[in-house]
Amino acid sequence: MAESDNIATGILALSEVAKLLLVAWFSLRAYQGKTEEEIKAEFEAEAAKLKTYSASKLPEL
Amino acid sequence: MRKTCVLGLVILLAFTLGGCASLGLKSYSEMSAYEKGLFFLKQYNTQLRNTFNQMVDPAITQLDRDRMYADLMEGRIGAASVPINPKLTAVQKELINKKRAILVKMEPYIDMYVTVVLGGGIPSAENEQAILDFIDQLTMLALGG
Repeated sequence: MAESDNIATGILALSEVAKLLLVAWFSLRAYQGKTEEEIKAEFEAEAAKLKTYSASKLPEL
Repeated sequence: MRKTCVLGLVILLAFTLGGCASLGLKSYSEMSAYEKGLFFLKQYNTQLRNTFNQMVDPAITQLDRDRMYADLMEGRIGAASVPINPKLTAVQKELINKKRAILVKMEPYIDMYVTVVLGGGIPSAENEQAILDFIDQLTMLALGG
């Protein structure tokens, strides 16, 4: 049981890392073929989100 | 188990880097301040949303979850109104709290980076490194470190 729990925890950890890497990969890939203006527009849209969306608004468990 | 995780990470990194190289993607050092800033913003915003998803009761539908997330972030509801997943273990709660704490600390550094870029300046290397260190911390946390 403990062994299967360890395996499950390991798989979950890897999936978290995979998500981080996928975000990085897709972000980098998304830049290809985009003009500087398009990147600036997307940057400004994400930056506007940052002004409102904050981790401090999430509940503490 | 930790060795298996690290090996898995190395394999994933190899695939990612190999994939980037085969597509002729820009390396990190070739990216402009806007491109790096966009990368940081996407990392932050994605991790913020993932953290919310991890804590919310899975019985809540995706549509309601999306609405609740927007309401929470735009101040229409408070943190106490978020239905927490009752099946979360103490360890999982601790991990989520740690992730939240990293994101809270990371936020002013990204905000500073964004402000400088929008003002037409070049962010300091220290600011950029601090953000990269927070991304590393999130990766290590995902590995159970």
